[in-house]
Amino acid sequence: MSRARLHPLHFFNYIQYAVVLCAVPVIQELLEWDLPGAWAALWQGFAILAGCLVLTLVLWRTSRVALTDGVVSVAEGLVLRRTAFYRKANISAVELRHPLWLAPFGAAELFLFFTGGTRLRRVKLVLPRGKAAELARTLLPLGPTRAAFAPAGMGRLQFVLLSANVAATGFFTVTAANRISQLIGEDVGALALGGLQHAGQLLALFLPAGLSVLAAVVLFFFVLSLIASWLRTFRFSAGRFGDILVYRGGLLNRTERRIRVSCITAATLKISPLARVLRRRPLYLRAGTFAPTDLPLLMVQRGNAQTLYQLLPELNDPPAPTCEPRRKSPGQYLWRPGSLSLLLAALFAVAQRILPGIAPLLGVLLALALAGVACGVEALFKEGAAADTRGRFALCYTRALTRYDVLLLTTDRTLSVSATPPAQLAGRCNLRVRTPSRKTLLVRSLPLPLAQTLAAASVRGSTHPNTQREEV
Amino acid sequence: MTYTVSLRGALLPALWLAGLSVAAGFVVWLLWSVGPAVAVTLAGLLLLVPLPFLRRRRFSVAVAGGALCVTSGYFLQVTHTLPVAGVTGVTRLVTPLGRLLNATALVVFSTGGALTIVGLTRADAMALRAALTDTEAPR
Repeated sequence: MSRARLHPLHFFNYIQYAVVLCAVPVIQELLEWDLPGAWAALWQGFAILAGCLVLTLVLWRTSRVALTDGVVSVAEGLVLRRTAFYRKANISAVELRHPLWLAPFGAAELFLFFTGGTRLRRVKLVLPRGKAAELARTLLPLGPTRAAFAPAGMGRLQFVLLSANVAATGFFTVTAANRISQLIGEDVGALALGGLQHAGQLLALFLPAGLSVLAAVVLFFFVLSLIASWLRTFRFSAGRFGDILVYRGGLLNRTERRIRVSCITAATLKISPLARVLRRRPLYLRAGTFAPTDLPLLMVQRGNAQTLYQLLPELNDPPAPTCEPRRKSPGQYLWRPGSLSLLLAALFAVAQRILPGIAPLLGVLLALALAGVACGVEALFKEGAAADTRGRFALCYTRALTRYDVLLLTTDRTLSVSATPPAQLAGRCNLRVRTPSRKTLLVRSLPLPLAQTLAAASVRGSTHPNTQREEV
Repeated sequence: MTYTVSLRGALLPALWLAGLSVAAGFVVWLLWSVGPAVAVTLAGLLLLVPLPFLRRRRFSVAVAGGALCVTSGYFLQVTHTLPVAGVTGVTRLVTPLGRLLNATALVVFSTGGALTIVGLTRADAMALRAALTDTEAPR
């Protein structure tokens, strides 16, 4: 790759507050339809904007990005000169983003991820569109790829549903509404709540009063998350070329992710309640510090993992996690959802006599808590771990209402085994596995000999599953 | 290859610490009065400024056998060893003061953490950077 300069918008972070300070009065005046006022506010902020522009231009002129001898170097700064060097061989994934707001300026965002690291997790560069694509191509070269997974029709709908995240969308929407309210002085949240109350009144025709507001809020965020998911998965396709895995998609923010297969640390099947209903499981990959949770690589049909093994034969024939329910402590799995269910059941019973208005709401919460109990029972019979001769670890664990089936491909992992005295007497323990993705996986109530064998195997880097199971 | 910190290299963090002492004294002057501010500044200058010069006496950076070894500490000596294959990136910082003193700050990022090396000459920093990043990591 020839030498290039960063895009001027790379330095937007340094001047964003100044720009916001200048833009907010103008927007406020425009919202009040006071054009002369807006013009005056623009003139007042002109000196600050001009200063910011000069600073950006100077920083842009002195910036430099180059790839020479397998090292990416990024230099920026005038007074405080910072030159960073990143080794190409330790880059596990790159992400090329074309956000809508950068498109008119001909810029694109390039993220670099590494094989591991605690302080250096990712590097963000804003480059001219062509240069960003060239750098991504040079770092992880890609030939002609055939899409192994490109959902369409009903499959697309299922993929959209599985990629939707109501909690994350809700959080980001509320945070964004708060920020906008603070900046422009208008209570955007109150406006949205007004709309939601109308929806709540509509739903109150079919549902009890307490439940209708909750249903309106959940429905609102669910629809929002579906729209976000539909935009993210627009023209989604995943393919592979040699050691490089690529998946791309998106309408407003077109994104392309390239992952070095040899750097994949873990593959996770997330079995959420929705995935159980659809009988499809989204697969998420982690490669060192690259750990996206917004978009799965593909969805795997229950009992039919042909597409997955075609795309990633490295995941073929995973070891089956060993689980011994008789040795486990049911209390460890059931005390939290169980106690919550009992509390809610008691409240529900009292509410039906004293306050029937909130009984439906408590009923819904009780149903959720009982679903948690069911998942706890499932964890009792499913949660476990195993290793194979290739040094791969298979872990199965449950959190809240979701079960995770993880296949750890990396040998760069730290295992810690902990057990209370009663657990030690019963021959069980908790196993914590730390990975380069800074993610700690916890498997509860594992047989102590198995955990010790896994820990020993982790040090060696490989193990023999058959002998291990005999020991257990 | 072993790299050490030059006298001018030690002067760079010493001047940073002197500036920090003066800043702390300024804050005390703003919140309290002149006397304690002078005391805080002097205490800072006396206790902090000699530290980089003491540290320099036993500070060494070596790249050998595929590992980076950084030995530091005057009273309590600590040696950090990290494999060169695990180095993900190196960042070099050059400040205006560093330009005058021919001293740079280097941050070495690896899969396990990061190490900061302050006070190497510009040429040493370049050589160390090349030794850490120019070799292809074994796959």
